[in-house]
Amino acid sequence: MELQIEDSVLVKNYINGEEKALEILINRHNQRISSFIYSKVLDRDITEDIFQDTFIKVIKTLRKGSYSEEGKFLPWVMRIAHNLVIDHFRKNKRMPKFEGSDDFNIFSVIGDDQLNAEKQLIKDQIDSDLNILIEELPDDQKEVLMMRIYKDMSFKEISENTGVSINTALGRMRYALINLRKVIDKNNIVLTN
Amino acid sequence: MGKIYSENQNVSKPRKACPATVQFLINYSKSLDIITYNNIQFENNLN
Repeated sequence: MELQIEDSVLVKNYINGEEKALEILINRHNQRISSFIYSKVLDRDITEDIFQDTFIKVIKTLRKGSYSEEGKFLPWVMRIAHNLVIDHFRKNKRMPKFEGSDDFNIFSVIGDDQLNAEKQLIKDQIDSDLNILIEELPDDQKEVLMMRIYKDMSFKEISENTGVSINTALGRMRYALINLRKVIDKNNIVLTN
Repeated sequence: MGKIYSENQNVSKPRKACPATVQFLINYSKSLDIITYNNIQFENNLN
């Protein structure tokens, strides 16, 4: 039969500088303390964190000589773990963390409006193709189209800036689009995302 | 119904902190030095 050294003896040995005693204490109570923490927080990573913080407190208290031995090492450690679990929930209440479950995933309702890498590449390609096509337009049509599409100006503003009537600006825009479509059809260019 | 009961199955499962955490604590203990000066205790980590 293996002789088990009592916790109180191990604690005394550890305080007297025997590091091995701490290792025995941690390994002896590892499962009980970890299971207790896990039963409250239900998260493996948080359990590890709280377990670690618990023993950091234990180590500091023992090394500072603030621990009064009453033969109750495990209940004392459990009390520290319990307090740290409460601290964890208090902190979480101030800064709640939301995690999806199997039934509901938050990312199914929150979208990311950014294009993915492939779609961004396609969009860039279309933009550059379109720029080349616009360059082929007559200057007066190109000018109106650039002002309308890229500078987001109204036809009134375009007419004021170019010194032509609104109807002329509208006509140039119309012809610009017609001519663009013609070039696109003629060259079988596909501009879709 | 089965789903409700299956959710917290792991709660009663015995858990253990991983060996890396235990090793960290042992190393932390070795590196920790407490110095007392004028009745004030200072923690020193000799890493």
